[in-house]
Amino acid sequence: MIPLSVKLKRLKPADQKASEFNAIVRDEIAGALEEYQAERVELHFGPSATRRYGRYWRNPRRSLRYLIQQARTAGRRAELTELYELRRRGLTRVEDPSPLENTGTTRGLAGTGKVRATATANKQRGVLPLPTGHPINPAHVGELSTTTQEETAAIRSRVIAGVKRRLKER
Amino acid sequence: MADEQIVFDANTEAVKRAYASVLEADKALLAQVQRTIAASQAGSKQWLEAKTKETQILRTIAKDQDSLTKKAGEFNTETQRTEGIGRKAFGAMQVAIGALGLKALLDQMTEYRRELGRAELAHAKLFKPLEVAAAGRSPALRKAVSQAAITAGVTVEEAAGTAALLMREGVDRKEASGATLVEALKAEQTFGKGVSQDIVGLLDAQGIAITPGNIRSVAASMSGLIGAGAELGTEGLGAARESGRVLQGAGLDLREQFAGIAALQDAGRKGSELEGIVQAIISMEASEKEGRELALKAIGLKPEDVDLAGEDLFEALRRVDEGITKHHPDIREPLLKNILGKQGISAGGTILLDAIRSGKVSELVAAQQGDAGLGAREAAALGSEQATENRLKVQADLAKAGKGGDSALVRQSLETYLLQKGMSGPEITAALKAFDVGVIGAGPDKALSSAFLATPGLQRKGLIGMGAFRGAVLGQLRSARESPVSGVELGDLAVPAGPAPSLGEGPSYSELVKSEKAELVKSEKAGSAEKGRLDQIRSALSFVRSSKAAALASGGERSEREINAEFDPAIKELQEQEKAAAHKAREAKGGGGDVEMKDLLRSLLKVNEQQLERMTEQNDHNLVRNATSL
Repeated sequence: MIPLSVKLKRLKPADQKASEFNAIVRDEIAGALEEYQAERVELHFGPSATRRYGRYWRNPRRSLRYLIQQARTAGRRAELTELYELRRRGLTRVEDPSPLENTGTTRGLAGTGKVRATATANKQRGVLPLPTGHPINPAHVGELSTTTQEETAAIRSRVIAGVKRRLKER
Repeated sequence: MADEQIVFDANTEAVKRAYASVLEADKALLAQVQRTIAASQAGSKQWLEAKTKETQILRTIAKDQDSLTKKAGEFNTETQRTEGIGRKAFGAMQVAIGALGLKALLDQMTEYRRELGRAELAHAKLFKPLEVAAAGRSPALRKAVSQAAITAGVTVEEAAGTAALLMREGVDRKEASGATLVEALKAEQTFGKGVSQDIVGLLDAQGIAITPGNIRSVAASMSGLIGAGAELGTEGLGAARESGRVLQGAGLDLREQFAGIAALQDAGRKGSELEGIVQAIISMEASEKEGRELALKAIGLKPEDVDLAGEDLFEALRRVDEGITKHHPDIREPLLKNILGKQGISAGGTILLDAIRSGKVSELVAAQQGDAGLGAREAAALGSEQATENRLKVQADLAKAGKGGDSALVRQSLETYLLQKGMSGPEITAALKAFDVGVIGAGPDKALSSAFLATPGLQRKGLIGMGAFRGAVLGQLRSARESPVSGVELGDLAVPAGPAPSLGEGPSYSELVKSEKAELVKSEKAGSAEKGRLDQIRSALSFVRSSKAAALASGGERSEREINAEFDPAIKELQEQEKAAAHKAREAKGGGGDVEMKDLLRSLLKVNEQQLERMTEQNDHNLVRNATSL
């Protein structure tokens, strides 16, 4: 049985309680992101990660062939004309560029970023840096840092569980 | 170098809500703690009662919230699933919400009522024993119970047990030590021990008020049945108690129930089988229903004639009997089997039918009318030797434990005082006789008044008034207690030669205070001595127990039974001694009432703390539940 005096001591002023609560939220967000970083992030940079994990939606890279097809508005003749024109310039074959994360550099750096988290009354945010080691095409910024719906939900539930546990232990 | 970063933002509104719930829970906890502390300090019973109910209701509401939250969760899932289906589905969902809400409301109301009933029951269970125990310490109640015991000629223990029983059943305290108790004890004296418990249980189970008149009417029924040669007994009363509701439903009043049960018992069956017959008629299996209808048709009856709605059990059976007797004896049995069913036949339906036909049941009902010979039976029982013996014993006990201390000491003090005043021998004898008579009913304090009135010599002299006389006698007793010499015989006391003491002689206030203090110190010393004895007994007991355990462990040639036979009597005796010593130590320590009140308060506080613990658990649960929306 807990004595009454101890019960009374547990009760603290509101501001102190608020800061403690925010600390709990902050810790748990940081913990969830660290867990995510340790267990999942690196996997996403491996070969065929797109097929395995289904994340990082790539923006469509517009190939030259595609541009040509777009330009074929005047019929077969114009198409052929352009094609010949291109060939004359030496541009015979066009390939899709390979994804950035498969270069190896990015994969080596994945998971080395330091997690930061803040929680106040009006803002609760956790940040997980993803160093790339090379510049990123401005058109492709945000590809790496976009999480899928399932992963957001996982992080969220991890945070909720942690906060619940901490409140119960309080 | 352009790095990227994953950003996780929490839902700020949800976090705010969670924090608000934390604050709220803490605030509620603080309020509860403060209230509990205040109540603990006051030790108020009324507060505790209210708190018990409040907690129960809070728990109910929390439970309801739980179920509602669960249902809301289900609803959310459902909404997500059906979002894509379209407007039509949404309309259907709205209908579902309405139904769900209504059902939740109904569930909530039902559960609330159930919980309230449970709370009341738990409350009664918690507090009734405490109340009964507290009531047992009231001197007025003790006196009333003793008077009832004298009237009925039973021991005080029996009377107190019956009074406690009545109080537990919810009888008013005054009634439970007055007329109701007297009637119950009389019934017990007349029909044997334990009957009052059965009668009270029976009245309670049948929903009849426990009043002197009702107890007496049950006793009269028992007397009448004995007169008619069919004893009801404890078993019959038990049967009426257990199956009372069903039999009431079958249209039988208490006397008819008794008659039916007694008729069955007289034929060597159990009284409780009467319920079986009623059940067989009311709830017949579907497979038997058709045969029953045919059989009833054959004897010219409809199912409505014997369904116990509008006619009682005996009337229904009488109709069946009339119809059956029209037929040939050979087919009577199968017809009856169809009408009463297998269950009814095996429960003694035919026996009851025979009893109704022969008029035995009506005879038994008639025998219970009026006094039914109860007065004569009671008079015989109350005038028995055992009753007289009990009565004298109770009177003697009452005289001992009267107001103003030990009556024997007061008597001795009175004698001394009268001797000192120079009264003559016959006058002293008369005064003592008056004291002895007065002390039985009223206690030594009032008996002193009658002793004063019985000594005209003292009054004639005009030396002293009645109040001063009493003060003087009791004051002398106190000073005698204080003096170191104890056990002085009357012959040793020298009659003072000087002038008689002045009017109103007695100890002053300061002297009284001093004497009280001295007494207190003495009693404390006695308490420590008693405690020492208690410790001695306990150590001896543990020694004997350990020896027994060692003997059992070593085994050897002796069997377990032999070892038990050797050690158990000693252990039993020591346990009894321990009990007595503990009682003495307790008495010596705090002087009766105070200690008991302390015990009572302590138990109340314990209950308080347990409640607080439960409340806190509930609070934590709510808090965590509210935080899940983060």
